[in-house]
Amino acid sequence: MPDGSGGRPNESAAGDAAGPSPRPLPCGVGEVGGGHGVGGRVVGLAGPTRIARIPWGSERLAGYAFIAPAAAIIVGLVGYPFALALWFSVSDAWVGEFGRFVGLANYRRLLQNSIFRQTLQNSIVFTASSVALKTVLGLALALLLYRIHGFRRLIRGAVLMPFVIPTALSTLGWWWLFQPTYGVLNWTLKRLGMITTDIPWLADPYLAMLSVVIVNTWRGLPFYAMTILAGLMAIPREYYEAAEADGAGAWYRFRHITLPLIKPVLGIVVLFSTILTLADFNIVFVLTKGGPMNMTHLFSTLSFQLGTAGGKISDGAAVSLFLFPVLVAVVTLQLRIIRRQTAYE
Amino acid sequence: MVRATMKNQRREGRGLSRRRFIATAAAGTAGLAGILASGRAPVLAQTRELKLLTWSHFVPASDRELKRQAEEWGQQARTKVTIDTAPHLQLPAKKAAEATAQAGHDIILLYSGDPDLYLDHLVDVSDVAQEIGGKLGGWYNAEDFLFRGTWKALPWYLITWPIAYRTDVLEKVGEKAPDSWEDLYRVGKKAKAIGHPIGIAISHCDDANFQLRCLMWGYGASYVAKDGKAVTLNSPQTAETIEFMKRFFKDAQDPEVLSWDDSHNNRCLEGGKCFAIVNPSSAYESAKDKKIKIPGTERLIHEVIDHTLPPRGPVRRATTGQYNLLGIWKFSKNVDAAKEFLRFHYAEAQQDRFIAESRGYNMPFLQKMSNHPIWGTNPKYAFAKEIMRYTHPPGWPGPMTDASQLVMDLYIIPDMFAFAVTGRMSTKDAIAWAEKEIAEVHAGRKRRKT
Repeated sequence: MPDGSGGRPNESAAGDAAGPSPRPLPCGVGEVGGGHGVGGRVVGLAGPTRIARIPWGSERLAGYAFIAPAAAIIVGLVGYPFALALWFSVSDAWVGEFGRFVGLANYRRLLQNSIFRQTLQNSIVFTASSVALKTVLGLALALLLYRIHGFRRLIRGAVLMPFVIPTALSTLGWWWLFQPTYGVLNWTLKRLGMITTDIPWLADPYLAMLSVVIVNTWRGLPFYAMTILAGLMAIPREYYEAAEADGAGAWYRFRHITLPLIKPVLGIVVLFSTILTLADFNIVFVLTKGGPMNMTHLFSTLSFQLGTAGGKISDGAAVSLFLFPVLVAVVTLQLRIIRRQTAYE
Repeated sequence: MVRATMKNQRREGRGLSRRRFIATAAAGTAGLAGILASGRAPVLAQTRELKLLTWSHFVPASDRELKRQAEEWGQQARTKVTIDTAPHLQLPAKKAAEATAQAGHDIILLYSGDPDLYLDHLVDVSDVAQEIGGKLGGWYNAEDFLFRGTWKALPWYLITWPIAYRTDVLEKVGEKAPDSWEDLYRVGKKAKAIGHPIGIAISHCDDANFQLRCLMWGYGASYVAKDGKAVTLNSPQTAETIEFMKRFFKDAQDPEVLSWDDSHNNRCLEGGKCFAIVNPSSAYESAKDKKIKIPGTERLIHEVIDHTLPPRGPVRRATTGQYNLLGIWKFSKNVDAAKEFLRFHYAEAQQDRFIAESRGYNMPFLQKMSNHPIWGTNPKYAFAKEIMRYTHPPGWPGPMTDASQLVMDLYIIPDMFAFAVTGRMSTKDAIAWAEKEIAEVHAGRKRRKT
């Protein structure tokens, strides 16, 4: 859209910076409108005095007006529920009540509760191992996808599938695979002669955790692979050519060119993934409901059981907000690291 | 000129000029203002609307019959009745959302602890309860349904947990139908040896919650006193129960029961693996519907599935089940209509059809209805006439409260057993762990009104 400043004879430096050569614009507009009688109207819209006539005064105010609807949605759908959750977590509210202020009593009680402490431990193990697995495998997958030339679109589309299917649905598929007696995994392993007794995938606490980590990794991998792939494609070929000319080997090229240059992308992916993995609900809820013996409960599933099913909304809110300060610190730190981007000029 | 004429024609063709539109809109607005001011809809449009939310019944015919009754009553009462269903695990979230928003359905399906949890949000239905009870021979254990002294919900129906077992496996091991937990252990041990273990869930599911309470009560153990406050878990009886389950788990079960949800035991019996499960008749019914055969044979498996009363322990036979209740939200604008509909639905003729359509799955809390002929037609339902006598709410001997519900939702009892049978904790430590968790749940209840 012509920004209306183009025609000013005494255009400021800011106007120059705003777009590539705004000055020739009136001429351009004249050409578009040439002889059809429409040009006048276009020029009128984009004319020099138009902005000044906007009732709310300046461009700055107009900007605020334009983002107001989006801001209202964010405040209404994110800010308000967040503030409410914050209040619930420091109140003694039951479901359907507003409750009274109790300070940090809920948090203190949670810290002494064994189910919560188990959940805290599970969440850390689950998030750390899933994110680590996704990072390594995602990077490997991205490097492979980068090298593949035949059926490139088809393969890249197929790789995205786990990420596209609704989690609850795909997890049901996994739930079926993990079934002890009639599940595909045990049946196949038995047929292949690899096992003689059924593996209790979801009944053994450690295998159950491994199972939920596998499913989470499977689901999150495409996000990693595709985003890292985009990062890889943005690296100019010349760097590699120059390195090769200097006799750098594959590992050296990966270590000193690829890795440093995809670091910002990788950082963002890990950041998002950490937050999303920590907040995972569907996988655990469908596969184990937090069992066996609470060994796979995550913040979200415990919060649901306490706050929504059990009605103790104050405890539920405290569980889900428990790691919020830690998360903020991690995000801040990570963003800072990412900003120190590496660039070879 | 020609263009102008065409324009006029087009405008007339639409049948609404700008002037006429404004006039009509003004009249409409005035009319609407009138309706708003009087608070009444015009006579023609005046139909009431009633909305009911229930679970998606495991026997779909039960939901269809409920909808049919809603339609029939709706026509009589000039009321539009909507019956919404949702999977049972989604209901708690929906109820919480409706109570918070103070909007939603009028009548709602409640689980055992809900009337206490939503006490302040539910209408007192004592009048309807007494009227229905008077007509149909009285309620079973009426005092179980008094929530802090009042009828906050109408008992709807119970889903019971008898033993479902394979008669052919029983023959193979030369035993007769198990009656006690020890019988079940003895037969189960033999059956497991020939590849047919017993399937009692020790996991995060309702089946586990119910079956293990049945076991504890049978041995004289309980987790809470009659007052619903004092925690009574730490007792020699609880320890005895756990020791029994350790043997039972090792000799008569497969470790997979530690990961089961509510559907696994059904599948284990239907699929031909399990010798016995403690579960509602749904496994039998679905095997019958799907005409499932015993693996490797042409014989239909439902023919060799029979039911018997839940196992008794050395002290007593006592069990629990799914207590389904109906409540009316206080925020409902149709409380009278809701009560009218409930009176209609609880009339003998309607209850009769409701039970029949559910194939006897819905066990009424009304004395007169428990003689329903459906339980006499199939010898496999012989247990049904008696089971109500042995059934208690999940918090027994305490009342149904928000705390008893939370103890279930956190699966504290199944986890206590799981810790012990897997050897992750000693019996003593498992009891101490559960006692602390249960005490904490009850402590959280203290500040609420009594």
